[in-house]
Amino acid sequence: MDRSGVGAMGPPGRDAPGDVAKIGKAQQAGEDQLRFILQAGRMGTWEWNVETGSVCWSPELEAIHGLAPGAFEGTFAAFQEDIHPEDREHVLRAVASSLEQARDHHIEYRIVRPDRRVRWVEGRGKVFSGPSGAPSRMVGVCMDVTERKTAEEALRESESRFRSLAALSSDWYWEQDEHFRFTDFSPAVQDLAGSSVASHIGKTRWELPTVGVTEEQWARHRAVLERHEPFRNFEYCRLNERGDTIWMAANGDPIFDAAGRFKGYRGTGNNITERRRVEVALRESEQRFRTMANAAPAMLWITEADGTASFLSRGWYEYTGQRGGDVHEAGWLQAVHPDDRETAAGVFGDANAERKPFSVDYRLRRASGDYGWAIDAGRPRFGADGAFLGFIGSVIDITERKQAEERQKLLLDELNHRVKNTLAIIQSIASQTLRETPQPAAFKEAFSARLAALAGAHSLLTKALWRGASLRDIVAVTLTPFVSSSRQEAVDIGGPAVVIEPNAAVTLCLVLHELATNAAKHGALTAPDGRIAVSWSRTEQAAPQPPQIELSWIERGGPPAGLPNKRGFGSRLVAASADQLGGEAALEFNTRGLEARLRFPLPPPARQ
Amino acid sequence: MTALQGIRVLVVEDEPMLSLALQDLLVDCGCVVAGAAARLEPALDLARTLAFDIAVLDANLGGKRVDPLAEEIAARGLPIVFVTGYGLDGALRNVRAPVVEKPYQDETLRRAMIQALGQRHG
Repeated sequence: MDRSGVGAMGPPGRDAPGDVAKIGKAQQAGEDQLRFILQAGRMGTWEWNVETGSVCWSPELEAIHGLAPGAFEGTFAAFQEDIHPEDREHVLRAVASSLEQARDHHIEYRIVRPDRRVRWVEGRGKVFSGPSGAPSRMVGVCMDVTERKTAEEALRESESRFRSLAALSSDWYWEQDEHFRFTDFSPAVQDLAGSSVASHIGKTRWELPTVGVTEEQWARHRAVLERHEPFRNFEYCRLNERGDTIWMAANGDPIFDAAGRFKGYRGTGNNITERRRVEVALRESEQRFRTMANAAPAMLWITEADGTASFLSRGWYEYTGQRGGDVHEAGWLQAVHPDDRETAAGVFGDANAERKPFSVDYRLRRASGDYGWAIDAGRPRFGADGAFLGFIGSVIDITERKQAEERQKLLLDELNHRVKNTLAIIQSIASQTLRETPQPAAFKEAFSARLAALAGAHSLLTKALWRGASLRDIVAVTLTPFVSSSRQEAVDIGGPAVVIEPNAAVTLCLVLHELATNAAKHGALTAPDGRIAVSWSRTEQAAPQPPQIELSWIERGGPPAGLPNKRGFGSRLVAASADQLGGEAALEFNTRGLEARLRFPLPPPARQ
Repeated sequence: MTALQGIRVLVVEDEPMLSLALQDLLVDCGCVVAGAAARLEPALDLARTLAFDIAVLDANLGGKRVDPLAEEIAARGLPIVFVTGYGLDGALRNVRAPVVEKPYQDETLRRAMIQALGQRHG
């Protein structure tokens, strides 16, 4: 096999004849040099004589094909045998077309070595024409590019792995050039964010329509990019091609080439619109709850599963004067009255353990230091999965209710006392009346009249909520049953405004009733022109003495008053009443008629 | 009724109608009403100066408790019966004596007086 010409790039066998020895020497030196280069570059050369069909390979090409030097058969068919079956057709077509059009070719293909190993080859070929103009020879260079091909393949695989990982961990990926302009975007952005890939390409992130990102935020983001630093979760709001606002979060890493030059950014992005919406809704809901909790008249609170307080509404702080730091864990208990603390802690502790609603009353210290009554009621909280989360509850000041209850008890006690006292008075009236008038008919009349006087006193006092009654009303109510409508002038009532406390008012009613009864039976009211003047005066005394009241009862126009019966009920009642009032009484029985005078200090009005 | 025959009683009751009825009852029982008062100050004077065997005291005089009066009488070694419209809470703390609630039956008061006199003598 002749290889002398193989390796030269020029058409062998066409050298002009001349000083062969000289030229041959120089040529030999050049060929040695060339061979060295070819070996270093793992390049092989070949020559194909189209007319004869013989093919010459350099030893380097034989080595690429896994053949020992000189082992190549020297036919095109033998070469064709070595080509990987999948690439064979494409190589033959390239060669054929190269011959037909007398054009160079450049192809890549795989070969299968005798040991079955597959190698990648890159080949270039050139066509030379014979004197007839038809192609006569073809020469070429082949290079083993398996390693480059493998590296390329690995890169492609790594790239595709990155993309599939990016696709799994995020909504889309993107790439930017060194000027931060998008060069690539995964198509998912169209479906997931409503923006086409094309709308991104060639633009920076801030050149895209965005809302809700301040100049300052952009400046910070761009500063990170300019420093070629990675960034995470840069959140911004895009206006997509449909006009929707889409919240996005971007992560990016800078890309550098082998020489360490910055080439741009690559990263992923996510549509976080739903998350933002939920966050905003949650924040709003939280805000609404706090606003409501703080505006509510009750104090609201939340505890966690371990029983520690995590929220107390503003009302609690305002009521107790505690501060945020005071209520941590069980700090709120410090505002509870020391005597009630154990009970409150026990009730709450049990409820927390049993996860059951509770309600407990305790005294709660106000910011001023005094204590109010409060009712604290709570219910357990459970998550959507049924997990126990703690309690939520409210504390309501029930001081007024408690005081009202106490007031009510006092009022009931007082009412009970009054009823018993009144029954005792009625009992006494009955026994006194019975002593005086044992005959049933007379008893009934006298007893009923005295009861009516007592009832009149009670009616007056009830109208004024048992604070007292005016002396004028006491006199008028008591005398009314004794004055016929046609003889209104028979009684003359006059005096300044005076309010009499309840016990004294009852006494005065009963005394006046006895005097009127006497007048109707024996005195002025028995005569057609008889008159009674009931008058009173009020005389101020030096402090602290109360004013002095002098009440006088003067009968005129009736028969002369009979001799006084000191043991008579009326006389005794007048005297006993004067004793009760701390005053004195005088009864005069003269020919013009009865004159009674009752002087007493005005008792202070009843407290209520 | 002989148990109380001739017993001298100090009556302290601020309600005139009740005071009169009580005095009549005592007379019916053979007692002598040694004195009667409706207010604390006159009652204190009587408690110090009057000769009597037993006092029947309304526990509350015009809103004032009769503790000083009861202590004065107890200091003299004389028995007391309390009459009250405020239930048993109306009884005095420092002075041990029978308590009769208003309204009362005549017999109830009589027994209370006998009891008080008996305690004093026993």
